[in-house]
Amino acid sequence: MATPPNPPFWRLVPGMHRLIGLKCKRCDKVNFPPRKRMICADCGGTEFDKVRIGKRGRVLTYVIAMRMPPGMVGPAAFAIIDTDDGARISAWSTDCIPEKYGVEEGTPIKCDMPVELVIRVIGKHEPTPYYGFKFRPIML
Amino acid sequence: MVVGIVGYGVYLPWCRIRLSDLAKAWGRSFPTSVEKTVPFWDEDSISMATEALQNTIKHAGIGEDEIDAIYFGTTTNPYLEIQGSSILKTMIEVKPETLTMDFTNSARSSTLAIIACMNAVKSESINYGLVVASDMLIGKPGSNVEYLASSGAGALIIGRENLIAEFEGTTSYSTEFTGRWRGESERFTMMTMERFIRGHGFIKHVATAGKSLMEKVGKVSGDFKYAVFSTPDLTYPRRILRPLGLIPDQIKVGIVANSIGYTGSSSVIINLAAALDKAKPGERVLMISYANGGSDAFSIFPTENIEVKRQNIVDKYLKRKRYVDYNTYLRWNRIFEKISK
Amino acid sequence: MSVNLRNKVAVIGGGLIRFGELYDKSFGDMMSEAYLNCLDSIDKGIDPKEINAAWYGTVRGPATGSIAGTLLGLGGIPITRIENACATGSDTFRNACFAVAAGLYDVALVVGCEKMLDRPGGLIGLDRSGPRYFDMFALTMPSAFGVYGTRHMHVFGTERKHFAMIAVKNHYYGKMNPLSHFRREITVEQVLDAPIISWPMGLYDCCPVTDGAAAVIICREELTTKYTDSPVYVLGSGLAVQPTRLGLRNDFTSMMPAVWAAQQAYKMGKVGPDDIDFAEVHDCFTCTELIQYEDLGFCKKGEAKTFVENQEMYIGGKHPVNVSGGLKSHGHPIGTTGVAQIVELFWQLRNEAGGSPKGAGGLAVSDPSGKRQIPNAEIGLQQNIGGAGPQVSCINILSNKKR
Repeated sequence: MATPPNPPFWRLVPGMHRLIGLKCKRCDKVNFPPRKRMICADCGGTEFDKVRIGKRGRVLTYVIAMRMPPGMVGPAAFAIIDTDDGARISAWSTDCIPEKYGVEEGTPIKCDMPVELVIRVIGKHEPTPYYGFKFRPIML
Repeated sequence: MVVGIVGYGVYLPWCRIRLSDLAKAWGRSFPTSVEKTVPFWDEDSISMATEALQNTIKHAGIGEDEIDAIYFGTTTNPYLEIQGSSILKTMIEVKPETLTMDFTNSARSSTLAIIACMNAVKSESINYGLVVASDMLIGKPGSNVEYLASSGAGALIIGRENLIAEFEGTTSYSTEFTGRWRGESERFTMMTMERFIRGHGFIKHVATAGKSLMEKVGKVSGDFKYAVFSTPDLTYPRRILRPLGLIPDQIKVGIVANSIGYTGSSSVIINLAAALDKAKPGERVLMISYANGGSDAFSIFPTENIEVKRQNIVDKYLKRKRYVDYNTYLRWNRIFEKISK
Repeated sequence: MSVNLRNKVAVIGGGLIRFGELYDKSFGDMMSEAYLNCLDSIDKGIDPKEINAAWYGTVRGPATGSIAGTLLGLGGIPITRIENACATGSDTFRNACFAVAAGLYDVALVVGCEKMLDRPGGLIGLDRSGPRYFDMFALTMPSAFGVYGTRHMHVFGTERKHFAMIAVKNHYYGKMNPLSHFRREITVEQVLDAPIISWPMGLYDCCPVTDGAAAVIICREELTTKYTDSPVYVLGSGLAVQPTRLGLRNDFTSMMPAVWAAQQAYKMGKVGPDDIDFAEVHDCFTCTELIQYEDLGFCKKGEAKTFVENQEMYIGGKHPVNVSGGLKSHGHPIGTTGVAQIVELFWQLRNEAGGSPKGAGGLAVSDPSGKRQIPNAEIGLQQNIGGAGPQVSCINILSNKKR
């Protein structure tokens, strides 16, 4: 697995790469990311069904960050996304250049806009990359 | 024993750069192509391969856990010592026993992977094999390679049942020939003289492999509706018409290079996908790859199923585009980091 | 609960130093100055040996209370270090109140100190929120709070100008406060034209990176007459958290920890939002303060923009908020902020905020007009909220009368 060679990332990889959520049997809430011993954030339940969170959803809310740390190129939007099957995830944007104020070629990001999740290089444990998901406006 | 394609898919990046912008920056034109893809700053071979294989699995209609082996063909693996296919394995829910195999070091690795997969499926040691090809080629700024070095991914699932196209036969031909190369610690691909590569590399090997394929399966050039090749630029397929006895209509559909440049090992797969998007049952496809002195030729016969599983995936990705300028291209590809090291 | 906090603990002294970019003062310099100011502020005087225990709040400072013991000459007494991200200051005060109310200690010192500018960067990144979760990678504070602003704008029609009006108000009052980090007024246009940090938050929507220290002394209410004739009583306290992971939260137009902490504090103090005469609210970002008007109950859900347009948060309006200058203008040394808010409440409730209370070390805390003093203030509320985004909130309610 191409992750920084430390345990926290190695534990997170299956959930992050494959978008595995744990659906609480008691209250149907999809808890993400999955952990080995999961307790439901809403109801405290401890029994879950493993689900693959769908890749389509709508933006609940977002910000547009203008300055990014080294290695990342801004501006990029960070959004909380409600997927079509009821999970709630946060992700950065990709394949769009979000501008809000007067730049012609920008891609406007709006609340309730439909988006899809894709795998991209999230960061580099120099010089090796590691992967995670980001969202992009649904392509035609 | 019939072996064939169960599903296919591609991925192309969102942005493009016009070759005229490159020509303006370097004061030299390059008339044999129009534009090429520019990967977004957060893409690499693996992320492109992931989306291509997700599209393929969806098209094939099989479960992720039915894939028995993943073959990954690339010249731009992010690691020298970690398998790209093992990373791809984490992207889908496959069995732990699923094999992962990397085919690297040549832009022909995609078709070599197909041959290996075909043999495994034919011998019934696996049921479904996933072949993914993905490359993110970067050329040294100002070089000839830069005009065409581009990015894209394509994938096939090969099996024995539910085929949309059958492999009627395959041949290979290779000699020691160096056209393009990249040394172990070098960052940019180098190439020797263009006409030398095209004549004694591409044309010689493609023509030889193609002719021996036609002999093997007992067909002539007129029996193929479409012919697709690895296409660095538009001159390559045009020059192969006469040696193989083809006419321009046969190669038209399978040329996407003017829109996307030379995508390395995935070039021939993306061209194949463009042809399969349009091919009707019975419209035979000739596929011949080329890279570093070697060619693999295939005869592919679409079945009735191709109509049932019709898709237009190459057009979908071609339509999605945005032009960027040379400055953005340099910034996203981190060219200055690569040069300064 | 069998024991209530209400009326049991009183604040008898408060000391504050001038906030700002204090490169020439060390962590120790600031803490000592605030502590000495606090000792001075006790009306009838106090012998430091009468302090039985201390609570020391800091986010990035030295780890244990030993630093407080060394710097303040408090050898031998129990000193607990409290850390709860942006809620540190209030939580430190709250914990000290528990111990004093329980009768374990008679007199306790609460001190908060933060040196943010010994290295660059402040606390912009969420580097302390745990391993770099893939989907929260490179998330910054303005983004973590800004998502609430965006959703509020989308659902209730709030606009960036409403956020800007809050920054303008805090600078208006900060200009009047010599202890404030920034001391100049700004206009709505300046806020809207400033560079965007994380839309909708621009440069002037974000609080600065500040150094500062504050100290407060509390004692059990039976003992106040020994130290002062005008103590300030603690009526109620509340604390609440919500999930770290953004995807597990249910509401993005309310910062739920503040709502729940406020409910706890109001219930304990037997008061309601309408009883609150003024408040010091955690405006790390302007959208946070705007949403707090609703979360704390000063206006109905969704009506914050009207509340702002009608200037109800100025002195003379329904609930003056952040007349010290708030975090935006007065500054936000993370671990200190809560304690500094308690000191401001202390001065306002004793009618000292218009002049030069002894706890300010010789400085005035208002300009000559004295306009910063809220007339007839009886009950004040202070609130902190923070973490990586609004994860934890702590609220304390004080009054100059027992209730």
